[in-house]
Amino acid sequence: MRVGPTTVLLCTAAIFGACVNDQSTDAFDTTGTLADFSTYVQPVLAAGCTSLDCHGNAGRPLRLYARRGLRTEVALRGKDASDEEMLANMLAISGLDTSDTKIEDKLLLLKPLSVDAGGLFHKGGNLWPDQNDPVYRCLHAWLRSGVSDEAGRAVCTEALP
Amino acid sequence: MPIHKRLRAALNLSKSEWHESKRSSLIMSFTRESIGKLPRAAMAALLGVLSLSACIGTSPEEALRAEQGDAPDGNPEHRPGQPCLVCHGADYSPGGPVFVLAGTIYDKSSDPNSNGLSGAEVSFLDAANHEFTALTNRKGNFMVRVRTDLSAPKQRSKGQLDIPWQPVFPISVGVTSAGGEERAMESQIWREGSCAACHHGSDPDVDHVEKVWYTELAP
Repeated sequence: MRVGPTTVLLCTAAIFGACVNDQSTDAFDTTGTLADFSTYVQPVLAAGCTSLDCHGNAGRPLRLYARRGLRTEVALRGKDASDEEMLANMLAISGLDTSDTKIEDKLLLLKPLSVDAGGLFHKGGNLWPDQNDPVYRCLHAWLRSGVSDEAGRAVCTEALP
Repeated sequence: MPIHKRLRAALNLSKSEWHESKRSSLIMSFTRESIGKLPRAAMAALLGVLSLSACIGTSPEEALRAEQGDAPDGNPEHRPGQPCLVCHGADYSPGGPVFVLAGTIYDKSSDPNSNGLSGAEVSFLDAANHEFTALTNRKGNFMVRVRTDLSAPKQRSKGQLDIPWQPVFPISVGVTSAGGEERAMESQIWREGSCAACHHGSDPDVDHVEKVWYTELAP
């Protein structure tokens, strides 16, 4: 087999490209509205996911903004998450998986779920003992319907600390 | 067979091509012809090495340690204000003792690194309801270590606290100055054992807040 320098260069470029961590989320659709996300989902995320030592860290695969965590501008420190930040959170959640992944198989639900209950290893620990955890059910409702129904909104309210 | 001869044979190079490649580095000297001569196995090996070199470099732990710069080590008062677990963490501990929680407390966020708050009580409550309190040393440093042979927390000298259990995250924390009242951190610690991973500098920024202060934020 003869392999030309062009082929070698293309292969090398592809290999380097595979190592780049592209956090762009522009290509993903989101489930619900920004208003519902900010009312029902952002407070739940802010209570258990967005601290600076967890997903409030730009280097983590899921990057989330919040009042006491990562900010888009330093002037926002001490203030609630801005619309721009919450939209970025919505897109980050949607961008975790391909759109055709079954809801129960999405990383947003599998990573914090206890390994014993079928979850995946999560450096931040097993946050939900099983699928009945209110936060699990709230995020499931968001992924399913954007918490547009009363049942979803009720479970997100229940999930608030 | 010497390794250079085995490599030359694997790459299917003549003696003259081998010497030529040695003169101007192995990869750069490959002509279109010599690359074309590579057997599939050698090509696969070359691509494998390229892919590994593209993804592997200095480990994140080593890079973080290098970022801390040079400073005298070896006692509990060294490197105030730096993220202690970079060198004293469970996964990477070239600094010797392994801590689960450690940091530096300041009176004001404008204090230079050398003036930590001495004698402050740093109180923790973890998710398993373990309560323990560390006392800061002259530099404001404190450090918490797990020692399962103990039956209760034991404060040692120079800011060192030993506890008998692995603390469970999330952990709430508060600081009390000598004679003062406790001031609690607004949020909980979820996984990071070094205060300075999130608290550093005199001013907050988008990705961190100022160093841990007790009395006031820098003007």
